[in-house]
Amino acid sequence: MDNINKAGLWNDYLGKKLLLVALSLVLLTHGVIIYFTLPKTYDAYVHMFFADHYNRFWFEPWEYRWYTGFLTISYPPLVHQMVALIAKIFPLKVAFCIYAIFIYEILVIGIYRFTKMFFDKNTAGIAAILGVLLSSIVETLHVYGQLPTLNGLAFLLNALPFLYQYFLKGKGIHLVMALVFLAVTVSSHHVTAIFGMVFFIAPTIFMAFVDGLPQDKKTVNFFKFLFTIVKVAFNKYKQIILFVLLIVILMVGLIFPYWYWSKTDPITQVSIPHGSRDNFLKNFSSGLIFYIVPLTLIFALLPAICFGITNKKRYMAWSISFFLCLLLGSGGTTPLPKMILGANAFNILTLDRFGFWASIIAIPFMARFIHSFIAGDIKQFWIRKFSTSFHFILSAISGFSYLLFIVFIFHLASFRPLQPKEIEIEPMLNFLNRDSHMRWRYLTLGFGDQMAWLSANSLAATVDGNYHSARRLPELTTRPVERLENAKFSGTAGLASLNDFLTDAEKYNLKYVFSNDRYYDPLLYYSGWSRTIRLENGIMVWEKGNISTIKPISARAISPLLTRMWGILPVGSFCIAILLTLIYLSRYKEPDFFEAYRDAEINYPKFAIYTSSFLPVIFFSLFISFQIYELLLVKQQSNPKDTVLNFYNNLDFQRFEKAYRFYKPDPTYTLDQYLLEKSVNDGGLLPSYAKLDSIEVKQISLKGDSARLAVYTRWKTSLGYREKNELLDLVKTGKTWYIFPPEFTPEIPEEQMRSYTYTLFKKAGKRVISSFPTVKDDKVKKPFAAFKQVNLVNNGKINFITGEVLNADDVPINLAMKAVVIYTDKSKKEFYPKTVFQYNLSPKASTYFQIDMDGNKQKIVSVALFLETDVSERGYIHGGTPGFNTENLGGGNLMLKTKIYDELTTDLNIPGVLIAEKDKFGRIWQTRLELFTTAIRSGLNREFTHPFKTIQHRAKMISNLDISTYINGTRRKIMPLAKDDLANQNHGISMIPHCFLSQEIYLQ
Amino acid sequence: MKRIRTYIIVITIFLSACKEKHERPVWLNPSPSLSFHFQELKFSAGKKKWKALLINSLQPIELKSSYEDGILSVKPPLKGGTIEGSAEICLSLDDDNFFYPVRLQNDTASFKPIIFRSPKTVNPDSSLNQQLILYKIDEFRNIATGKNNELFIEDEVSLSPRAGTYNTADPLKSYYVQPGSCVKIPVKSAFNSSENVFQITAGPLKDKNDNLIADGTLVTFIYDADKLSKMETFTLKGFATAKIPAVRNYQIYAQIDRLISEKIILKQ
Repeated sequence: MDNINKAGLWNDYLGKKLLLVALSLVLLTHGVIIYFTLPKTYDAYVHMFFADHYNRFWFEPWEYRWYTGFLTISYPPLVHQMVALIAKIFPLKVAFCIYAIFIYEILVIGIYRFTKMFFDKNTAGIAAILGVLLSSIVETLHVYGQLPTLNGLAFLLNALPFLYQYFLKGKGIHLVMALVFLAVTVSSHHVTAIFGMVFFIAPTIFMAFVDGLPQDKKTVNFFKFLFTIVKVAFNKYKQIILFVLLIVILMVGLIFPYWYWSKTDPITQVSIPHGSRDNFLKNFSSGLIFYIVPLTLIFALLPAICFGITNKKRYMAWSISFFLCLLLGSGGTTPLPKMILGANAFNILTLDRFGFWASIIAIPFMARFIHSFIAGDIKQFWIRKFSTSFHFILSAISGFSYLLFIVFIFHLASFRPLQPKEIEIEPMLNFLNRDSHMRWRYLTLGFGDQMAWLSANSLAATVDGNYHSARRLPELTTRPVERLENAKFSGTAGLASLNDFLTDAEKYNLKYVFSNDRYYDPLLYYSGWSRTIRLENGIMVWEKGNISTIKPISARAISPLLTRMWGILPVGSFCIAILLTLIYLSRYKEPDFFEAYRDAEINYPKFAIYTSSFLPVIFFSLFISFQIYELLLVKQQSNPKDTVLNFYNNLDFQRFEKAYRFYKPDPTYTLDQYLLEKSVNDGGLLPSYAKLDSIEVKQISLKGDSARLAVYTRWKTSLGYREKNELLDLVKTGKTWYIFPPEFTPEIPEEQMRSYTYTLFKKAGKRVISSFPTVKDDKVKKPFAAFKQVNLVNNGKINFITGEVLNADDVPINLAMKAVVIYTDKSKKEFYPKTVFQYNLSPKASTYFQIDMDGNKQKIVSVALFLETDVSERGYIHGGTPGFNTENLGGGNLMLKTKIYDELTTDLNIPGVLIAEKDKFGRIWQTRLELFTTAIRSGLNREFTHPFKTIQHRAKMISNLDISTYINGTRRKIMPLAKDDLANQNHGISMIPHCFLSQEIYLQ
Repeated sequence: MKRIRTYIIVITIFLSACKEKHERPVWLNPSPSLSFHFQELKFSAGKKKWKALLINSLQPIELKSSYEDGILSVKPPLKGGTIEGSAEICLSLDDDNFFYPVRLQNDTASFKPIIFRSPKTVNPDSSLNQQLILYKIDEFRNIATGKNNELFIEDEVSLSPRAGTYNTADPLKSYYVQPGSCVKIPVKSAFNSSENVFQITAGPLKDKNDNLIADGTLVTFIYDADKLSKMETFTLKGFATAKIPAVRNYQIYAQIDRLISEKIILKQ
């Protein structure tokens, strides 16, 4: 009796007990870890930012904090609004976690109910547990932070059994229930709703039609069967039309503002490259993240899934959905996805979602196989074939290796960081809150997704943002750039876009940059930005002078009715779904409804049993072994080429201790010596502010145990690409290749102590302690400046303005210059000096400048040059003493030999000069910024040779066009031209220093 | 009966949605001019609770009110003063607002003279002239009129060319005379054997009014080593100093903007 009770305790309602286990596991695993994985995800902070919007302004669709303003009706609001509601009680991050876990629970229930349409409750219970640990779902939450996708899917899966029952029995309550759940799907994720109609709803209806057939009609041949289904569909046309009509009304009505927005303000963003569209054979890392990792279990059990899903006619539509999703999820590996979706959709969609849906469709069939493997026919097969122990060991290894794999995915974002390290945001919030800094826009650099978290916690506005579909600024939409803050990962287009914003900062009232990546320092400095303060969290604040405060922008008007709809209907649909579920469970639920239509045990063929039993062990064990091998056992110095490649890889990531191990071991060449030599020999644009873009290694010679290799490296800097060629000698010791350390020639300054005197300035700023704007008496006057000369030059198809500006005042000044050009078609364009200009000048200092104008076929009618000045207290030391001589190579080609002496007490990190080509009258024909890639230590000289092409002999100066010059809004005359005798003695070349000093005491 | 009940409900809803139109209260003790601490204002306002506001040219000020026998008494603000001139008493109830124009003036006023200088910073390179505007203002920012009803007196003064900060009683009213441009660059050099450098000094650098030129002014020392070199230095208290490694003899001169010093030879 006891035995019966014990057995009954476990076997009764086994499926539901397994569901409870699954729900508990969600809390124990995801519930515990989500708070820690959240900051490292791709999208979680974006959704939190949206949630913060609804928390602050529920019925206001205009969000001014990103992209100079955008409409939040551009994304279905349910998830954001639900998190916003929870955030009324809990902190935003906690609210997001609570809602995520709640949705995960609903998803697990959905998987359970979805599987019940196919198999028995026990299999459904196993499917529910599988849902907790399925890599694709784990990745979607813990790596991508895609809560709306999970929300949409959770309710979609819960809707399907109702829809199935409606088409089988035609009861209205099932239609109502299906529609309320689908309404929640529509309100949370439009893409899931649209594609869900194709990949989930159509197969459900098909299966309901098949299950409604009498048994004899199911066994006819394929074409007759299809004909019968078509006939059934015709017979049930009223049901179909009613459902389609209602679902279309729901889809349009619930998120009507979204459709209205997408119709009236269509997305103009050029396609942004995404790893899910790559050819996975060529780009294996993309394939790993977007295809292999989420679908590993599916691939491992593919033979069993394929057999199961094609085994019965009722699964026919599911098999089409599954294989189509699997194919579309393979991205650009084959041309088929592009052909099926069309180039437009292919370039907009992220295709990993198709693989994700394939994994969801496969869940019942995987669960069926696992059920059979652990407690059914397949278990008996292995016991018969070998022994119980064999089956036990096989199950244990498969299970453990899969669990290890899942643990790996939980921490994938830690192993392969997708985001920069967590940044404390309070110092930035304090900075934005004080001294009215919020009256300007800011930009973050090197923050990753955390820029959205900063935005969510502040009312200050940034020009950047993290929702591509909503942006409308042409500088962003015309380039395939994900975000400005990670522009360096978007190649030339990314940096060009960033450059536009940094140069034309006034247009966007962009005054502050929070930089978490010194990679951008050279671009910021040479674009006229000055370092202001290093915050307590290590973030450097850069500031640009002469920027006006944000002007009021009128929000895009949306009908009040639409804004009310947007604020009420989505959350309303969620509340109604919960309410109706309770009513349904208490009044209408039919127990064991699906029993009549379920399939009995699938009789897997031997091929499927063998492959699907062993593949998981092989897949997951291999995967874990590969990770361990990569971490610990890979031989990085097995041949000369790999040695060099791995050496540069370590250098690129600043892992100097690891890089040192590639040098030939020598008691006189210690790690300490290497680092010392590096510190005195290295530094500059390439070693400190560059990222390795490409490397090519060519073996010049290989004799016995020694080899010589030529290494070509291309470095990506914020100021463009730089190339370098080196020769490396290697030697083989044992089985390992080593690099000979470079010969070190020490350069030592003569002095033991060096001194340098400079004057520090302090702008008193606002002396009246008041939060009101500065009173008239406390305003500092606009400093005096003057144009020494301004010339309009035409060189072939290019026009540009050159000239020289003087700080005529007694204080250091910051300058902002722009040229406004009007063409014959009355079009007006603004141009800026970009990097060919010194933006900060000490008293009585001058700078050359050049403003390039885009090629415009129209003729120029007028040019106006505007100069704004502001009192500055920093940035006026440009460093170094340049000395030069010129060699005429003929044909307008000069060779400049520039020697820069560092008389300062700090390194010149990026030595540079601003070169002007002048004629005998002193007129400037062109100005160029020449930067050198290696740093100069204090007290030392370094010589650089660089070609210079003069243009006087072929360019022409346009003198018939009067250039009007304005300083601080007032029309000013240009100073009389003066000859430059020194330039005349040097083939017309004149130069001034323009170096970047990373030491903050020099206040650049 | 059912139909009548429906009519009653509809009419009740309709009536409850209608708003009553309020009559304009009558000001019982009207006065075209009010001091800020005026006597109580009386209005015949029935028994309704009117809200009273005093709206001057800057801001609305809520006034306390009381009722007695259908008379609304509006009390003046407790303390302070106001911008004088046109104002309105506003009585509000629901969406109805009634305005009563008045002319406001303060009971007491203590006017202070103010001098406004423009420009506050002058540079002798352009002009030493300064425009003065004198006026009197009270604590509530009312300007006093002069004998001839003028609001301010305008004057122009020529400042002393001596550079410096000219203090007044109020730090916000200080004004500044900057030094002008340098007129001559005296240059001298010395060989510093301990450091093996030439130490070149430009200075004292003065403007035409004998002021030391501004600190931080750029002085470029131009010398011809094997290459034409330009060393940038900045002045402090009228002097700019540079150290050039003594590896050979040089010819050197200093330059500030377009002003050039005489050339000197650097020899060990």
